[in-house]
Amino acid sequence: MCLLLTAIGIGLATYLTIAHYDTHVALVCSSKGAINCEEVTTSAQSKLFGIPVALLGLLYFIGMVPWHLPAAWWSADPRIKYGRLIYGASGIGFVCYLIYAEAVIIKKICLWCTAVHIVTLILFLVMVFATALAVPSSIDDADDDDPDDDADDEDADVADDSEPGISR
Amino acid sequence: MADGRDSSRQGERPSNKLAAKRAASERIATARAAEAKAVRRRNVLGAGAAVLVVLLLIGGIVFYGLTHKKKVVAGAGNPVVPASSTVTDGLKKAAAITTGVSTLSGVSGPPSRLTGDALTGAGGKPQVLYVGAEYCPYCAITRWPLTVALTRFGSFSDLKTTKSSATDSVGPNTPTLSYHGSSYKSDYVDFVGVEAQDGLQQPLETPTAAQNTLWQTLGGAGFPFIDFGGKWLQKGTISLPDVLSGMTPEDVATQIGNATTPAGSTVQQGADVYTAVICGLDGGKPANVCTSAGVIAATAALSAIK
Repeated sequence: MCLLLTAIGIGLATYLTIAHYDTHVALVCSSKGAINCEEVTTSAQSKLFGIPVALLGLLYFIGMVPWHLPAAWWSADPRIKYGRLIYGASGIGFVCYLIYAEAVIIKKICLWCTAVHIVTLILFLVMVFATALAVPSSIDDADDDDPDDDADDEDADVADDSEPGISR
Repeated sequence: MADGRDSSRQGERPSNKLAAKRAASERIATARAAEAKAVRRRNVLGAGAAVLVVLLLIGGIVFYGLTHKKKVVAGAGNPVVPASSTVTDGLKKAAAITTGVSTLSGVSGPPSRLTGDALTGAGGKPQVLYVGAEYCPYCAITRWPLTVALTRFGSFSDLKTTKSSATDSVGPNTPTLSYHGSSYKSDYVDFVGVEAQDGLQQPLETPTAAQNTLWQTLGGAGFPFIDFGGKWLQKGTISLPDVLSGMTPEDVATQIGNATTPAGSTVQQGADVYTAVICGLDGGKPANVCTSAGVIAATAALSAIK
């Protein structure tokens, strides 16, 4: 699930990045009224420190891939778990800034940018809840420190779901 | 019999012990499952709270955006705001058509020839250097045809709109664009737009030493000044600003795509002249622009200028 969302995010951000650098590629988007992709993507807010935000978005999603590999999700290392959450939260912070730029400064909405924001938000939601449901194995695994392993094999069913609720 | 009972009790002891162990294990497992459930419930509540905060934050931003007017981004005097889609669309529409003017009758201040060194920019492309000011009414009218012409060769980003000074005796509040903070991309020509002063005649942008020398020596430090590749000079206005009197930038942008309106005719004629000048600099590229009827007519009209 997370890898799929990340792939969608990479696709959208790639399209926006190409449209930014190649003036012959125009975004398929309305340019009338409140929805105006071109006005947003060519605004002063389309760059941060001289770097196009579309490119920053692409780099963000590419950087998201390792966090969502199966090995990363199965890892009990708290640095991976919290690192992933912090990385996702940084993306949400940036999305909030971009929504502010669109809604408050530019007063125009870019549909493609909004699609990226929604993907980032859903990705964050899935990440947060999957992490919340993944209880540490020290609590969930009854086998780990049982002194009489030979006597309670029947308890193994308690340990079998040591990483429940993880959506990858 | 007693021995039999004893041996039976001895046989029951391991069984009881195993059962006790099993019961203890089950209690531990039950306790751990309950603890895991509690931890999950607490985590989910925390996650829900975090998500709620994010959603409220985004909702708050959108609500603020919907209930507040557009922010003024720069400048002084008349507000300077990002060009609206009406303006950018109007410029593109105007750039897509030419008028077919055969004389310079609609252009009161045509450019003049220069004989100095070529002025080039990045990659050796001919450079168009503009120096103006946001308060200046003559700059206000001149920016429209210049921007339309340049849009035929490339594209602008981050253009602003404003009006010239409200207190000027000539063309007060002339609707216009501002190049301050904008950028321009083209395969054919390089453009540098310097807005030297803002709407209250305060310093806004500083020309480089080389630009300043050209502006001082060729333009007499007046506004507007346009050096077309070192070969043509626009010193002062191209048209009188009165034609845009009482209009907004959006009004102008809507009319410049229609050459039958006074504003549209004036801006289109100026744009064709500037386009012809730039075509003369870049070797007539792109061909569809430089061979259009309006540009050919303007080129012929310019040929009369010594």
